[in-house]
Amino acid sequence: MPWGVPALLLLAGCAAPAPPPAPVSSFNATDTAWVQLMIPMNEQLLPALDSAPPALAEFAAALRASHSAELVHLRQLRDRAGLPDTNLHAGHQMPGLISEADLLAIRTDPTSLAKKLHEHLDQTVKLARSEQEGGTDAATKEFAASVESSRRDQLGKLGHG
Amino acid sequence: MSRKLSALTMAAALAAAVVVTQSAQADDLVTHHEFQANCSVTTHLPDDPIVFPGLPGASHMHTFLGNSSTKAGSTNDSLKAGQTNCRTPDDKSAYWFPSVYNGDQIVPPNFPQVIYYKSGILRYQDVVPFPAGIRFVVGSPTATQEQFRTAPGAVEGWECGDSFHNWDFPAYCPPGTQLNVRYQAPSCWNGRDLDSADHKSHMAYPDRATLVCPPSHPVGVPMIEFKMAFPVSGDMSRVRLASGRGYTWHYDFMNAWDAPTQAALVRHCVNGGLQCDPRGFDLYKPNRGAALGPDYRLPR
Repeated sequence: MPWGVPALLLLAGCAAPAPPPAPVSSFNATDTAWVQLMIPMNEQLLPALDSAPPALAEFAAALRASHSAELVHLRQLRDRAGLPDTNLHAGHQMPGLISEADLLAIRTDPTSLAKKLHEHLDQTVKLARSEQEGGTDAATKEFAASVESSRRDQLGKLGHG
Repeated sequence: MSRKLSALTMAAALAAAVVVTQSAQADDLVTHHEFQANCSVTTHLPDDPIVFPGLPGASHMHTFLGNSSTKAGSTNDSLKAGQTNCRTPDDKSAYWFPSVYNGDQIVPPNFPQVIYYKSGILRYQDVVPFPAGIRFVVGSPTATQEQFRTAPGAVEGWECGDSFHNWDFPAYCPPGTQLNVRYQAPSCWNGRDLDSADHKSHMAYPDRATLVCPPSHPVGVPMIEFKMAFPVSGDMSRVRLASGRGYTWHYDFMNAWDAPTQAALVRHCVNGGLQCDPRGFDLYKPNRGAALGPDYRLPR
């Protein structure tokens, strides 16, 4: 009985389609995971900014501008990595990601936005750090460094605002 | 159509190969084709080495079993170098699922949990071991209740006491009972990719009626079935998963078995039609022997 298995493996191997030549990519799994997470992170924050209370209005407007500019860059990275435009994190509840439930809560009580912004900025600092440590694509790592620095700057402003 | 034909041809060829090798055991009635991994909880981390590789803290909370080195940056090599609490020490695989909470408290399973390796296909003799480094996600954290109920991996939903087929957590469980779930993984591999963009599409479930792998995923690998038990009962109204409601149940697997050890268990227990423990021993068919030695390892 044991001798059947190598033959089966061989047969199964032959039946599988021949692997196409893998395109050489500078993106490793950390790069692609970071890009695919950061897009919904930024996208899903935008509608929450509409509910900013007056005290946060100026900060929210600046955040809208910078997050939108980052999205252009992130989508370019996504396209260059050959990734689909599907949101892998639709419906997810994750640290720093504004969910539908979060959005509803913020609309109900706009003063809760500041805490959510803190969480979002904090988490994206961590993620940008990890991308710089674990990623391989030079442009993605460089962009992560700029995201980290603007997040730190934004956290400073939010703290004082 | 031609792909279907070629799959049939392959099945016929496989059948011919197996008839020769299996005839010696024709006297035994085959009722099972499985072995177990028995692994305990190691830790809880907001990490996901498959979905968020290299990004610690990016995920909802997960409860990890088996390999104690598992973390966001885990690779096949790092797992192989790690240690495991699985009963079969050469299974360095990583297993995890969204943590179960009761209110704000994590509820960890409190004894070694059962992870079955079964045949998902009718021709259990054709199941081959997992390729080195394969990884995938089973079920979906974004499933609706209806999707969870009708999923090909669904078995009996959430269970406790005499209550079965719950597609979310039961409202009440008799005190002292445990909350149980079984869920089956896809067991047909595309023969090419160790991972895919959604961490799923390189795997597929066999056809429900014929239990044959689809032509796109022709290679039958072991069907993993998590059977988890959580020590929580009584009022269940505050019980939830880190990923949401009970129907968002899912789990992850990164294969880091020692290849010859897994091959011996698959050959002896799955292909051989046995109901094996983590040593590859069938209590009801002791005459068939064990795949592994008394130390749960291959004789070396």
